[in-house]
Amino acid sequence: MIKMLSQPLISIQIDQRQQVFEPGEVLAGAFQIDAVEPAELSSVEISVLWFTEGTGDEDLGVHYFERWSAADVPELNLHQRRRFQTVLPNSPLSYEGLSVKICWCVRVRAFLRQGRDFVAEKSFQLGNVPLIQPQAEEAVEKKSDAQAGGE
Amino acid sequence: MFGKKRGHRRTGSKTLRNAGEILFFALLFVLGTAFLVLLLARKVIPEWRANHEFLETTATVLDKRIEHRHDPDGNLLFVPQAKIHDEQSPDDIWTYDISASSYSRDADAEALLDRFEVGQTYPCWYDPLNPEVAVLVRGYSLWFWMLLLAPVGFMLIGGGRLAYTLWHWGKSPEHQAARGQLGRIDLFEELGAREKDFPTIPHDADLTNSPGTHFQFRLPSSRSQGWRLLGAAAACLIWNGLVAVFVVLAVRKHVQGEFDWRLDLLVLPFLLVGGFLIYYFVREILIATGVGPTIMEISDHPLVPGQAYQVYVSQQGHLSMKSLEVLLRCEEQATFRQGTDTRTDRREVFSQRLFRTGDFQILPGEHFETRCELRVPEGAMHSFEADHNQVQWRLAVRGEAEGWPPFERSYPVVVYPPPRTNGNVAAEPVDHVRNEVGV
Repeated sequence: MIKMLSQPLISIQIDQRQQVFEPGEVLAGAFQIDAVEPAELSSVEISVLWFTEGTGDEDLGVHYFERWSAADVPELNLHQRRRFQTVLPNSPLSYEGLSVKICWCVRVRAFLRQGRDFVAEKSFQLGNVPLIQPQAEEAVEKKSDAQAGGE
Repeated sequence: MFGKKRGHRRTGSKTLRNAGEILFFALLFVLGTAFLVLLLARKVIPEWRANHEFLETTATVLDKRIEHRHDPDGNLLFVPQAKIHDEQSPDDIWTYDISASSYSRDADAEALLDRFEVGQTYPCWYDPLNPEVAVLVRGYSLWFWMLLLAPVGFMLIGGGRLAYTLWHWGKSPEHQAARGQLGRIDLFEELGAREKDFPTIPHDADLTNSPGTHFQFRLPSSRSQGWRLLGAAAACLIWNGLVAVFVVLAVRKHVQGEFDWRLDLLVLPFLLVGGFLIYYFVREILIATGVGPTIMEISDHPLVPGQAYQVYVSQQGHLSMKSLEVLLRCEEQATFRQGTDTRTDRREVFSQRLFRTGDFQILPGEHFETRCELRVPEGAMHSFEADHNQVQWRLAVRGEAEGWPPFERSYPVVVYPPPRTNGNVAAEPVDHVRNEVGV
């Protein structure tokens, strides 16, 4: 008999469907895991993090992290809808550069007992740094106030 | 090892990869341990016992010989041995030292045996646990103790990586990163409040520890001219030193009438590179000695987008300047691995000229100076520093002088995010990384 591999359905909602945040604002929301038997889930993690994209190797920084494990608390229902909340930091701000991009997201990771794990993430923007365009040198003409020999 | 990176994904099973890594480093650790145990049992412990636990007695030398052996490579070795009779052992035994030291030259082994005369009595030391084991000479083979570094190295590398892999087994990248940030210890000083409140923004302590004479801070140059000069000198000397050997060889052949065109063709490109290195080295010397120091001072630091700052620049030297500019630049830097190489990609994303002038003289003993205003654009990205990616801001002074190569000196600055109207956020307590048991 063929046993179907179950793939959990992870849903993440950010309150008020807000997508742009300022440093210091509260990021709040909820997540839930469905489409998988409770007994198949071994642990669940939620994190609010930034990561880089672009030419360079990925860097990652975790601002908020929480983990629930069925092994430690067997009566814990990992399926249940859970809320999360954190105050966003001052930096790094979301950034879309030419070689370097900084992205923020809420990431939920569900671990199954067979050893596999599944990830879902919801992106948001921190700050309001404008998109970088390749730029020629911008000259600011100033009158020369050259003084030779000191003031 | 066999997976490929496709964009941000890797092919191959992570579990298999970790298992392979554990197996490899466990093997390394086991091999190192086995090698260490073997060395201890066969060499170190017997030598130590001979020097500390053997008891002294006297023995008569009955005979001497040099035994011949072969090492694993087939080389002939010479082992000095003396036949002795002592009171503790029922039989006469052939011995010298506890390690049965061998020598590659017959003369060396003979010189050691010459210290003992047949028929004479000498002190010797015997093993109280096994009186049939005795030695005429004690001491330590210091070279041997250094050999212990090899298995210890294997154990440290294998054991360390094994512990690291097991510690991280089954942990997600987010979990590992959160643990790393939680357990981070600054070995030299506690993290300042500013660094905690503004993560990933580089420290600016090194930029503000030098007071200026016109404005608050004197900025350090990002590149030490001395190091560049030293690097250029070293590269020039080493390269040209090696090339000179082949050049001399080629010239000698020409002088002797033996024309080896293949050698000439081989040496030519290396000679060209050597010539370029000489040119580069001379250029660096000219810049270092001819173009005087450039001083950059700023009214405040760190910088914030939208705010205005005053900059003071002073240039010394005996120069006839064609142009002198002061610029504000922002550069992205991304480091990545390409095969076995590590490459860094740098891209300038912003450049603004703050000041420019030209056609003026800097007389000896005097200096040119100017002040200008600096304003980081509203909404500009702050400085950012991570392991592989950076956003760097810097002030640059670029000059062209008559008879000198163009020069540029840069001075890093740190830009912070703009302040919020109700003040910046204090860092959340570290215990936002919750316990694993669940809440």
